[in-house]
Amino acid sequence: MTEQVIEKKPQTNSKKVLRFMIDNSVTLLFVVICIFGIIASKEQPFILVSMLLERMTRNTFLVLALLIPVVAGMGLNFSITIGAMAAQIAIITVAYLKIPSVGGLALAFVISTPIALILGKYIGKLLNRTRGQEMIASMITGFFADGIYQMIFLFMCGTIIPMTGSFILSSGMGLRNTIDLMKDNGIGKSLDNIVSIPFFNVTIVAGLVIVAYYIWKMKKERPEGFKKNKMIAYVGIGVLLTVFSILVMYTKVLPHKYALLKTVNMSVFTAIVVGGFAVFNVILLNTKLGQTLKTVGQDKHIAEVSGIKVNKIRELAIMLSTVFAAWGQIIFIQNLGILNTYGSHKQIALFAVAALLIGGASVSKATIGQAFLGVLLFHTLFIVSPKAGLNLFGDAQLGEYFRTFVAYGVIGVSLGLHAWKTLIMKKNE
Amino acid sequence: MNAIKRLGLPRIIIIIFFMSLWVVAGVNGLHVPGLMKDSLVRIGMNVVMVLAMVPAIRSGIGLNFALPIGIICGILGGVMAIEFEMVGLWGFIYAMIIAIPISVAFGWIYGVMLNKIKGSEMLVSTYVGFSIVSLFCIAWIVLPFASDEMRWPIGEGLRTVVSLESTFGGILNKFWAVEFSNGFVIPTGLLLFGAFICFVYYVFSNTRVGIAMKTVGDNPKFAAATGLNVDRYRILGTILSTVLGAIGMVVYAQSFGYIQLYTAPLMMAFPAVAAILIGGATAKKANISFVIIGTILFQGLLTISLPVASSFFDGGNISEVIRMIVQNGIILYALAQGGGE
Repeated sequence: MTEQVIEKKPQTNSKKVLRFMIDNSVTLLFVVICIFGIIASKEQPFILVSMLLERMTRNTFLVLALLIPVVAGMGLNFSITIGAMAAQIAIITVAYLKIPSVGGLALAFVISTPIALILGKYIGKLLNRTRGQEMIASMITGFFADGIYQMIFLFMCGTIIPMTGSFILSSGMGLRNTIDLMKDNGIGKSLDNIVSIPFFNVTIVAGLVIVAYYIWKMKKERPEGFKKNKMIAYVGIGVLLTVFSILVMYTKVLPHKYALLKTVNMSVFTAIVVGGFAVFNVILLNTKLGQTLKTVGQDKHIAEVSGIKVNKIRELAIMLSTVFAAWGQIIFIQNLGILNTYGSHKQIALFAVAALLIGGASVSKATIGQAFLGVLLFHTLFIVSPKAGLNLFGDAQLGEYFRTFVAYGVIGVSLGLHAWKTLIMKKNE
Repeated sequence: MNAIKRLGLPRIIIIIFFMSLWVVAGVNGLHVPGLMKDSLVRIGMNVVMVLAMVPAIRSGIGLNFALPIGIICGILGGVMAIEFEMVGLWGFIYAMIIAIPISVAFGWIYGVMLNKIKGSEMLVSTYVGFSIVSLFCIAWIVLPFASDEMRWPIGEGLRTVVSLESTFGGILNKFWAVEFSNGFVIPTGLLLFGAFICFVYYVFSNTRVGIAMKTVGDNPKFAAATGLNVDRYRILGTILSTVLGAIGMVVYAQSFGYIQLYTAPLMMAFPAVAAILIGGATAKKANISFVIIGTILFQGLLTISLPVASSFFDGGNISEVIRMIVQNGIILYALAQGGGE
């Protein structure tokens, strides 16, 4: 213990800061880009906050679905696309049977689960045969499954699969391009509308909770020096949040631009589902199963020697990921309120993986905090980039291309850096 | 039995499917000479891009999913030719003259990068390819091209599709083309050019450098022991692959009659990868006969599946769906075969 302290002493504060910046360079870069983008876009704060809030509640679940395969050492699971397909099969079924609202939604969750489990089992088997190349294999599996999916819904529906009515194209074969889930009391927004209250009422409570928690913690632990300052800062943030929220909600002192924030609504129930799922992930990773997953992720040979059935555990990891992706996609689609039959699943893996990496995760390590932070940054960029492109270069398209480039680029760079580091470590051994 | 095992089930299915499509086409009274003409054109326009996989596999970097780098260079050559109003054969040659040095430079940088990430080439290269395409989406808007042929009449940047009709579209396809009275056409120029490039590569692969490169790909440790510079030959392989991608794109564009900009090249590596795999290649083994067989099977299959399918039912682009299933199915099969660490 004392040795460690001595070792750490020579590290000055500036060195610590430098180390922190190198370790989190991707995330920090994106913080800068996002701040710059927000300024350049001149977006109304109320639009920014409400869009961001909506995107965070609907996208985070899908990003969290990536965590377990990372822990199990299988890298980023690009085949969550297939989970999304399972979800869409369930959604189409529910919409076709015209089961309304929350009941329909619950049924969609139920139907998607076994489909995703079975598909996940086979993806897992496939990835076991492509060890060392899991990520590219999972990506190609996603493309392959997309072909099968299109085959089913474009050519089999209405012909082999007996479906009739307004869902089927006028030629009698194939499903329509879009399915409106808001119509006829459909499942669209049904989860979101269970509890929807003004966001800044929620933040008043959140601010108070933060203040209370840290004051309680300070009373209990009586910290010194840096730690004390840190806690005081947290209390300050809590107070500021509460005061600002009260100003927004119950006074008229703020300029009109900010007063509009009052109208921002939050789907509290959906947020609780997402938050609960995050907590569930933490708990799961601390159970015996979680430990097994970690062991397999760290060293397959040691795991094998200590009697763990490595292939089974890897299959299980992908099954879980696929099921979670399916649930995430249902949350996503119900929020959109419209299903793009042949397109809604296509970009899912790309955006989820990019978001997770922007949050600071790597191929071999990802946490829940990184998932949340990543979604926040990635979607901020998503919202502001077209307008920033318009204001800076007179072309909104430019901003859109920029964000696509960012998504691909960040994945390429992160994967490349990880491969490079692994190679250097191998050489050093 | 041994031959079947060597071919692998997916390839057997594809061959049977391919054959039966031609039989069905004949039975259903489709215009077979026309289909054969279309197939030949498609084969000729794709063969160089498929060939681009060979140096990559031979030098040991595996299937080059970053083919879009070369493709972008080819497109750059094409748009430069239009910009400087080069018409006809000169336009085609000029496009090459521009594309080749750029692709050498890009290929070299990319090759150096690949040497730092040995073992993860396929995944990283996929995203490098995607990134470069999306980066050039921005470039097509920003770069100061002035030709009215390519710019949007109003607004910024280049069009999504640029016609080559007035410049070098179809220049190879029409060259010495032999037309038959029943509608069958042999695009002699196109096929000759493809054969010529294959021949040049064949000659190269039998030179001292070509053989050394193959040795490096087959067994890097042995190659290093015999004093070959493994990294240098890998870079050479990457450069060759990128250059062939660029040439392939120019050939493709002149045959297609259009240059597609923006996101069009995003997925172009996959059909090339699939074609050579169907021909019998693996991530470690490839030669020119695989290129030719694979291109004929895959492109032929895609060309005739649509007319054959639409002779049964209307609507839906089944050719696209078949492409997705066959292409990604064969890549997956290859990955699973080469599985294990």
